[in-house]
Amino acid sequence: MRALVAADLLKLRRRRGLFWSALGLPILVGVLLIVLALSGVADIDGGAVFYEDLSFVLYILGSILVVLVGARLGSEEHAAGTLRYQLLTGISRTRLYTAKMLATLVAVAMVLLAGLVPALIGALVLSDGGGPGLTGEVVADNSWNVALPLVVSALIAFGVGALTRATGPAITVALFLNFLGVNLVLLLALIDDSLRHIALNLGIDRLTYDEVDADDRLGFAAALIVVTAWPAAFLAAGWARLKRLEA
Amino acid sequence: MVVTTGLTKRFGARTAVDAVELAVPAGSCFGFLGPNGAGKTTMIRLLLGLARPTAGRVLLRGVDVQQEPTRALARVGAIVEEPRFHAHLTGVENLRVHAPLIGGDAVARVPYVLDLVGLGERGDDTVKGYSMGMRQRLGVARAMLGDPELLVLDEPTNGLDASGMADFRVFIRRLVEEEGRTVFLSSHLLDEMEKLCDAVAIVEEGRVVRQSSMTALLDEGGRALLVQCDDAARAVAVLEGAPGLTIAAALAPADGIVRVEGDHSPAAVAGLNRRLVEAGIGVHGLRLDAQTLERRFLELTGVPRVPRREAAP
Repeated sequence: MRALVAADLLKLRRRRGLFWSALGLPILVGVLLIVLALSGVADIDGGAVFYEDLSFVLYILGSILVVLVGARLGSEEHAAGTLRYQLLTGISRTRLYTAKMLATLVAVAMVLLAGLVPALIGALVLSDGGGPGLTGEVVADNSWNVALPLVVSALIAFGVGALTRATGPAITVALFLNFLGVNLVLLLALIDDSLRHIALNLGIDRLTYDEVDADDRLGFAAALIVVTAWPAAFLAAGWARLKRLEA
Repeated sequence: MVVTTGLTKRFGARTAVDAVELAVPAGSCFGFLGPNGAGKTTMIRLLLGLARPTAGRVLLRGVDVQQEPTRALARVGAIVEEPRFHAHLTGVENLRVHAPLIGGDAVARVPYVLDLVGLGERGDDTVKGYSMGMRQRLGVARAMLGDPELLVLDEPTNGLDASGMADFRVFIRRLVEEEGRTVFLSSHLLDEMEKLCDAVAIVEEGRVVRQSSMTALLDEGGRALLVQCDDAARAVAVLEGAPGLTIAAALAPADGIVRVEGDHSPAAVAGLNRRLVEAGIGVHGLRLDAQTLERRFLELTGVPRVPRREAAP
């Protein structure tokens, strides 16, 4: 399995534009903010605030980057016409799918590391900036707040890629779902108001910032189900598509 | 090595592969021939478990490809329709990302298979810069990665120039004769198939209309004597009554060529010549017209050829 994941990551690494965007942009933004803070151009109020701000920037940037990566990994073999050659080695389709899904998760982890490590370094450097200092709790909370939505977005994009089997449409659909999908769910609220609670963003918010109104606030278990069910549904649909496919 | 029983594939009302019974002997080069749209590629996809049959089964190396794909496809290499690659990767990288799917020592075989197909020097170039012929070669290299007992190649000479085709012929014959591998080839290049294959199956509209060794197939078609003379019409009239001869056709009356089937022993040919000369017909040439795969193919698939007896008086 490790060799299969490594092979998928090599394909990704050789897409230089995407690869350097995914890793370079978060690093660049982090370094830029550190420089601005140190030079006094940006008013950063201590290490904790710096880490919080930069992880939010990574969340915005990463939401797009992980969709590009996930959609590509989900659709790439179909689009390149190489899936047929993979299948005729006799490899199990489930194993193939799982390896690509794991490669997606590894790629998300790399994006997170590329963004959070400079953020951490910057926060440590700026820890005496006057505001609250950097603590382990701040790092853990903010890292989690970025990681969860990015992982969910990447897995949904991966499932969409496997379903659409074409990279361009997969990216478009996944980006649409990522930023406007909640509106589609809210249409269901016209049928029954309680259906608005299945919106993914409510579940993610409950498990991260936990800042929504009391009316929309989900219980922890319900939030966990919502956050798990959405990517699971897309992953299952992509997997079913691959299982049934005649290459 | 490959056995199919009642293999059928339907797409809605259309039957693409119709109750095909195929038996490919191990250690042979087997040609799968048919006109465009005859169902060759669908058949290959069924053989390799890429498509599910509507009925029937496929055994590769004695293992059912639908029931146990991993075991059936172990040591099987293939090109189906056209070799496809990740164009942004180099030739070497394309093989290296494929090798883990095969397992074993496939990664270690990458330089060997590249050399085998003559791409050793270009392995570090990205595939987007490869010509069609180079992609075909890389496709063969990928098919060879798993040290296959069975190689299934769909139109493998597409994009190869004359020298590439000659190299390919030598390569395939070496795989069969020296290494004992089985090669299943589909191609529309009948001349190439005739030179390469030990046995063939001819397919038309999803059905196998003939399956035989190449020698038997060609022998069944019989051989003809081509007589070139200065008056084909009169030659046909003179020869028609001759015992033991059949005037099959005047192939090109304007050129004075008459095709004669029957006894082609030296004595019979001399007798035929004497008969024509005694009738005052000038004979310019006598030669045996060997049966070709193309002619047999056209006969078996019902494609019209030169009308028989078109110039008979």
